[in-house]
Amino acid sequence: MNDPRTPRPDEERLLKWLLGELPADEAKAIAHELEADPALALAREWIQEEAPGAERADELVCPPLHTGPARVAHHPLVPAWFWQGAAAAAIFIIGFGMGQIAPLIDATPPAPVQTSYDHYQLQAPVAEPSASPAVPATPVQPEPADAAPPAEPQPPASPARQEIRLAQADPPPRYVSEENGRVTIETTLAGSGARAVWVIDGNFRLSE
Amino acid sequence: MTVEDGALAAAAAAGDERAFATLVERYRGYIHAIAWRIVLDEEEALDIAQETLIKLSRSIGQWQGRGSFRAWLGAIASRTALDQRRRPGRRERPTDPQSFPEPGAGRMVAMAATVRSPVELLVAEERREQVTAAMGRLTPQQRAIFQLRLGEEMLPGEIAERLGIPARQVRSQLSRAIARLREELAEEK
Repeated sequence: MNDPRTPRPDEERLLKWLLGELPADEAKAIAHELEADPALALAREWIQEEAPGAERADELVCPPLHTGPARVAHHPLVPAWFWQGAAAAAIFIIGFGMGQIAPLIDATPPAPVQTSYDHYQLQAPVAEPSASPAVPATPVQPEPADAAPPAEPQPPASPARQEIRLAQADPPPRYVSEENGRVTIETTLAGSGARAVWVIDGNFRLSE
Repeated sequence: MTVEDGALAAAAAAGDERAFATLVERYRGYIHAIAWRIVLDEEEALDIAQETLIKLSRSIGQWQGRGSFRAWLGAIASRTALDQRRRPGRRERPTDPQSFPEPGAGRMVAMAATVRSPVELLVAEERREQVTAAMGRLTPQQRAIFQLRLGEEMLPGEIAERLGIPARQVRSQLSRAIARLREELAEEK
């Protein structure tokens, strides 16, 4: 009795056809042999018969046509989590590197910009507030602009309120005092002759 | 007058909605049948057929007019069905023949065409059930390959290209499928 699992010579030929290994001329002439092979014949018949629920194919909806460039599924070679991890590592490395470099950089603040007061002439240096006893401030009378500056700076009138007289050619002389870090400038307005006091303590304020 | 598939596909690729609708009308039953033979489940076959139509609407411009449009479409449907089976949560397995639907009169059209008597009809029905059971013991991939080879007469290299698997795998699956089928049908004789 033949073992059904052992292919017969014609079955081997059909298998070659199935695997596409037969020459083209032989492959064309094999149709009748396919019909003679029970397994292949039944399989072909099964493939060609109607599927169950075929009538339900009418339920299928015709989708809208997309005639633009065909959308090809994009499968990135590297998953997204890899790039997220790489970005986090890069941030960490850059931060670590900057932490190493920062102490090497001179952290001293830049020197303050020297304001040009070349049209002023400082006549009385500001003394330390704690160096002198508290004495009421005494305004210094302005001197004419063309007056020669005194050879010696005037001593501070008050440790808390020191006055600095500035000699200025034009406009009229001004008086400057410094009190607890606040600078007061007294002057006379050229038009009205009114006395004006300028206080500079970070915020400018104009008072009479 | 019936317009050829190639002309309809070219018109659809140029944006002709009516040509595309005609193609869908012509092939939706075929697509559903292909899907069913791979997954052996009516509902799933419907989902796959719908997804295949959506893919077709997006890729109709790729049809280059070479070979058979029907075979090209059958390959899209087969690949869609296999992709569906490979999705997470699904398990690649031969379908349980016990879960097959009861045979209906509509399914006997092809096999009953040459028989006439009730006895012959019964024999044909029984034979069909045996074949369905034997096909059900193959894997979905084997059924897809078998279908494209026997139904569309595509060569293994072409099947491999369309399904995105190595040609060697196609040949080995074909060999195993036909051996299994012969064994199953011989046992049930």
